[in-house]
Amino acid sequence: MALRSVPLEGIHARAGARMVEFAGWLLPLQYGSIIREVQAVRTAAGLFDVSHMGRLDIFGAGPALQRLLTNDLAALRDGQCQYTLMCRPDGGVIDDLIVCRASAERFGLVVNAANRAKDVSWLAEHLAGSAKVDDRTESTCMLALQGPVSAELLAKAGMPEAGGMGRFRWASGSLAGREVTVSRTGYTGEDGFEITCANLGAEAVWSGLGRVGESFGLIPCGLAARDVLRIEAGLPLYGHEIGENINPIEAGLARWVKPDRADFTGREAIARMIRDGPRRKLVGVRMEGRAIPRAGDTVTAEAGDGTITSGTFSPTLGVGIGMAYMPPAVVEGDRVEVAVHSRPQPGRIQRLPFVTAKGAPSPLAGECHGEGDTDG
Amino acid sequence: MNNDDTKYTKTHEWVRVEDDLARIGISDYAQANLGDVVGFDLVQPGARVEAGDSLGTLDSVKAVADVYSPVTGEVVAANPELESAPDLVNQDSEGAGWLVLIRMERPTELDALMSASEYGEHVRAL
Repeated sequence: MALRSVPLEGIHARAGARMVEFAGWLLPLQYGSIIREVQAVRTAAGLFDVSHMGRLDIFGAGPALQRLLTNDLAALRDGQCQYTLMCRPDGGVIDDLIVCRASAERFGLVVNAANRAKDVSWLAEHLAGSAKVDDRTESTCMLALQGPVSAELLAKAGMPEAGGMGRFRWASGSLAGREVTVSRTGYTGEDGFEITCANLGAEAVWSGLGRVGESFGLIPCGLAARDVLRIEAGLPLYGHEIGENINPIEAGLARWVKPDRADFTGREAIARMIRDGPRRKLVGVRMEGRAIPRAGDTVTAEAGDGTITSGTFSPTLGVGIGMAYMPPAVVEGDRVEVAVHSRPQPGRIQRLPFVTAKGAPSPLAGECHGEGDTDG
Repeated sequence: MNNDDTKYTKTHEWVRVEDDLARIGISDYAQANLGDVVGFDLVQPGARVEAGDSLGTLDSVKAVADVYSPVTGEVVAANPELESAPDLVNQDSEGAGWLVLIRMERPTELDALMSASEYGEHVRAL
């Protein structure tokens, strides 16, 4: 199968991006130093091309849509979004996604690129005949502007209302003279916005933001930085922390699963897991030496063994960090050994997230996993 | 820093001879491809390696790269500066960012390696 190119590929090439294949797309991996890109997002702003993400418009789904999603869809008002999961009857996760409400009849889903075809099939199979699913992915671009100066930057670029938008709200607007929809969402743990526009206008929007962003310290950022930032923020990545063989309760996503408020596929299995308690749980691991944990590395604790699901060097903390599934008995502060290059390296269990907004290290006794970004 | 005596391997290591010692590091091309070096796990002084054996790994933010020994011998030193500044490998990969010093058992192994200009050709062809 041929790789899909994003409409902005020319811009990325001219900016010197190293490209990488991901989920069938050719995307910018990095434009220069990953460390510099991560620092920019934590202190100023970064601009990401995330056009590979699936964008699906759903018309006339009625109550059938709620039956596919674990979060309380009825809580959404027009112009609001929420993080939610689509599950199998056994509670395994089909995808994690953002659902935005335009009206009672019209919703937009933003799904993982790798799961788009699977999601479209599942929706087609389970929504009533009256529902229409319109896949907008290939006719639109999506940019993520992330960092503490995002709102100020967007205001200067033509959307002064951005600053007043609540987190997880979306609105239509105009940037560089092009129509855009903008949601105050992101995958970095910082304040930020995800901007969708028709392909034709994407270059103008990207370049316009780049020009305005110069004085703010905005730089383009790629997938590598995106992955580092989301690990620092303790956010799950489908295929690593969540998947069809992982229950949302194990993944620490109970906050976005509401079996008492909604009836959805997988509800019974999930309710049972809440009642019985998970057999493993997702935690953070912070290294104590120079070693960097990587996905697949074994983690050994007194309470039992587990596996790193995602790992990286954290430029914000200056140390290696990872997420791991461990026995439920582990607690924050527990010493562990991580088999990095098959050699045991010391680390400690830490609650997620590692980093909160504006690059502040999370206090050790912080809130539970999923702070901020996935609220709904 | 390409002086006339620096030799290179196909796997992007460089070697410079200092009496019976070989100073070894990764090339500028290699460090540019690797990205910011943030960690390393290299052989310790006292270890003996054969030409082609792994000298350990360099960690960048998102990747790990193996470093291979161009020569056979005993590791007599590892660069002490790397502990506090692993990014020396990026700043000056062919100078202050050297990795290990090996006492060579078979200096003739160097004859099989590339000169600076040959390595330049090799890289251009990649």
